[in-house]
Amino acid sequence: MLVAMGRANEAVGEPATDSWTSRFVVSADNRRVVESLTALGNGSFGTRGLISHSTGASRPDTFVNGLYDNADVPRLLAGPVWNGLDACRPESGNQAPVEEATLDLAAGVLKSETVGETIVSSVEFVSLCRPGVVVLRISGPVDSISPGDPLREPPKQPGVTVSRSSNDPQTLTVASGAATITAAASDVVCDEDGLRTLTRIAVYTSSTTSADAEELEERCRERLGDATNVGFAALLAEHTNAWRERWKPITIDLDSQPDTERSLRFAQFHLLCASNPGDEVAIGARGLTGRAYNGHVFWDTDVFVLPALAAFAPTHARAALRYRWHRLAPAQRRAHAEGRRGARFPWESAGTGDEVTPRSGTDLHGNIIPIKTGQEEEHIVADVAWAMAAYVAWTGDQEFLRTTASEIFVETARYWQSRIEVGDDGVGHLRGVIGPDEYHETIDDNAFTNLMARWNLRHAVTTCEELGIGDQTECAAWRRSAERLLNPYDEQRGIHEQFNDFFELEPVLAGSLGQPPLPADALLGHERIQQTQIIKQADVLMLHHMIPDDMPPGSLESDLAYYLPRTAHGSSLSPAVTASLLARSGQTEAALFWFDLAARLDTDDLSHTTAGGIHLATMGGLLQAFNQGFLGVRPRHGDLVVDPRVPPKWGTITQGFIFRCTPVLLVASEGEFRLTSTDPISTVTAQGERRTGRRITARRTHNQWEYT
Amino acid sequence: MRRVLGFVDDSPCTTSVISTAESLGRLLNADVDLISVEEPGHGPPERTHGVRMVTGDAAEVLAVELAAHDVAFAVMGSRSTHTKSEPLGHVTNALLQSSPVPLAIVPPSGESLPQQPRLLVPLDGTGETTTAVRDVAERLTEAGANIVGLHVYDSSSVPPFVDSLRNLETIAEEFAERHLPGRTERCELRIGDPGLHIIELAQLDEIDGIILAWHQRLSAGRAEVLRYVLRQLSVPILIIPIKPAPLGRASSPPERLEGKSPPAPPE
Repeated sequence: MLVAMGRANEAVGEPATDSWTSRFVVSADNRRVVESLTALGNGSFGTRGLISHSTGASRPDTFVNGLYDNADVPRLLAGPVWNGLDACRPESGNQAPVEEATLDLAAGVLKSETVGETIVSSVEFVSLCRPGVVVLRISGPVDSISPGDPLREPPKQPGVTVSRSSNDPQTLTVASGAATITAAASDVVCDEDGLRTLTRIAVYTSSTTSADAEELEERCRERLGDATNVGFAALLAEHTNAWRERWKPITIDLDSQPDTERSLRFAQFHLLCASNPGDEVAIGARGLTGRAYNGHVFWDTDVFVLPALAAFAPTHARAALRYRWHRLAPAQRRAHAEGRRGARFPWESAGTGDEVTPRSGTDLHGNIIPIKTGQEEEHIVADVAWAMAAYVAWTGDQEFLRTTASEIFVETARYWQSRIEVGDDGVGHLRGVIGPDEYHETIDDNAFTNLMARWNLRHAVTTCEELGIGDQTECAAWRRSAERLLNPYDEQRGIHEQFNDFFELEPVLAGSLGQPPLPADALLGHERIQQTQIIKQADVLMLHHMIPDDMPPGSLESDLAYYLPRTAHGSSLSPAVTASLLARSGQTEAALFWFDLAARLDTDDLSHTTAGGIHLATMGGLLQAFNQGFLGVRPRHGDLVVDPRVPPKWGTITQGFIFRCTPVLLVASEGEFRLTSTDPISTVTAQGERRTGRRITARRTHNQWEYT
Repeated sequence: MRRVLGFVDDSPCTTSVISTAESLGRLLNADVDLISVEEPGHGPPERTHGVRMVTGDAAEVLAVELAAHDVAFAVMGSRSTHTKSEPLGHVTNALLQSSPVPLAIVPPSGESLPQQPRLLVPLDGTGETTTAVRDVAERLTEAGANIVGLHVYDSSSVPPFVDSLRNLETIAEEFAERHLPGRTERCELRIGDPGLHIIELAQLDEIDGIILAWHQRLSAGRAEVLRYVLRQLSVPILIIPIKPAPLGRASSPPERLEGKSPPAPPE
């Protein structure tokens, strides 16, 4: 018999539709996966979801953006645990209670309910309005909830010290080298008519500069006092209002496909949780949702997350780019140390901006394999520049272009110019690199690296000319370098050769190993895979996604036809980009397959690694596949290209985004689209027809869009 | 007090059987009960001091001993030489297939379990295997044993989006948390032939014993890993019977605890 009682999660109210919520039934086995999926954050601070208590094998980490320990390969430092309870379990009869966690995407809160013969319910959130403030309210029968210590030590981390102050309220500090996270928390327990309501408010402060510990503790206590005075109801109200404001210009409606609609909102939610409009934000591969990849920042952020943020939260995108810009000096030092000019950004980056890629790992055959990405995956240099350009294209932010992006364009162009080796035939080469397909190492003239470097050099020239900056002689040298850099396009076959002699490799297709997606390197082994044409993920094809205007007309279809059968999709980055490109080429059914796979990658734990955090690049890729792939929306030379290819089963789609500071609403179906914006925007169809206005409509006629 | 039975005969395994039974007795806080069978037509075994003698057909009388309610574990020897293709004698064979309690098989002149053994626990990722070994693993680690987990994928079970070697650590940690929460010092992941990887890891890691869950079926094509490991290793193999599924579920495939598999793409 259920006991009727007030529930903590009722404080939030119900969201408008079910597709504004993501629900997960929690078990002992999937608990750590759900903790990742329901993680909350505000870009500065992140906490894994759910309440940790003795009955579940929790991994209740909290993280502060940009705070790493001082290990040789630095790891995101896990801070004090604020959401632990000694017990929060309802009375249960013969059957174990059922725990369900519901992420209310619209309100930015996590609601949980554990149902046995009685009910324990909770709501928790990371305040969007008050940095470092986290709040939990839990209610249930008095004997079901035992708060215990409001702050607990995180799971053991090598080389990390934990100390507790004795002053009231107590603080708990976790420190490694100069990185320090301090938290203070207070519990208010109210027992009434057999019902217990516990309200816990915690505050986190941090420092990366060996700040005075007492000062941090005092700051924590002060802010805890402030938050406590505001009280639960007001903290919740301001927080949920802030989230609802966030959603207004960027809502996605896909009424006929509630699951897809939910997946897209879920992706937006997590990108927003991982970022903020602060001075800088380091968006690691798993954000602040788990320890996998040590919180390191990869090209995932620049290429997969950034364009999505630029369209939905441009100020957040700007902060992510400033993370790179603030680490220009170490990138310059590295280039100099390697005998180059300009700046070489690290493949894996943490707090300092130095290269932090581990040097080796053990494969599934028990062999120790050198990890060469830190030395050879140099396309990151162009990726960083490309991300800057993507942001400027979406926002038109001239101030950022002048003060930040232009410097990156110049420094990365200098790097490429000094990196290119010119052969006796006068052709430029980039030798000894790794492309996005990481199965093949130490290769020459990787198509992706070469053509992105060429794009980088050209873009630097254009920017310098537009802004009237830079040295004309240097610009001329960049232009020469760009034009003589080998372009591995085979005009006869209409396809790009992925790298020098790729066509000579053993012509094995991915399908010969099984049904992709599959980890071909694990199946064949590190040495064997390099002798075949099987690739891990889009490599040549990434060029069609990132710089489509630089690719020869018609080559998307021929490159797709050649490379997809060779692609194992052994990377979580692969499905979304594949979906996007298939959508652009009109292969809708295949595009939807890969799109759905990307949407389920974390919620179904397809990688078996979601317990270590969610895949933010997959989320960003999913949003790009939707926006750029199916809706055909992307910025180009100050215009907005709109060329929807809406799958018939999707019916009518509504998507809000921000283009050049103007909120835009796109309503699109298979046969027509309508754009409305508060200020006039300039749009262009795939055929090059331009239209400017606040309300633009078009109809598909003979497979082409015509304005009406 | 529960008992660990040690089956003693005149084979070269006897010393190892006794010392392994004593180790397990200490680890499980159980009495050690050494038993020897005097079969009709055969004389008594050489060693009788401290050994309880029973009479009759060895397989039959030892099966009765194993069925006693207070038996926690039993220890017996494998065949006297590694060179034979079949590593188990007929008595051991029979008992392995019927024993309701875990059996430790000790190779001749092999090693016995030390006080705080390092044990390798290969798991196939199914709930039934995990259920079978979890209790023993918990009790042994509480008594000071260290456990190294091992999961060997085949080409169809390996996760599709491994991304990089870095993620294997995450997958291994989660595998260990799901199957032996808080009990492993680490977990290793491999792909290929489970028997080969068990042997290789046991040798590299100086493992003192192997814990294997087993369906108790020795018919042709079954128990290949068990036979292979018994032939190759000189450390005790602790074999834990997998309890049969409840009626009506017997034909269901064993449930895997890891994430889902992706569907096949369209043609």
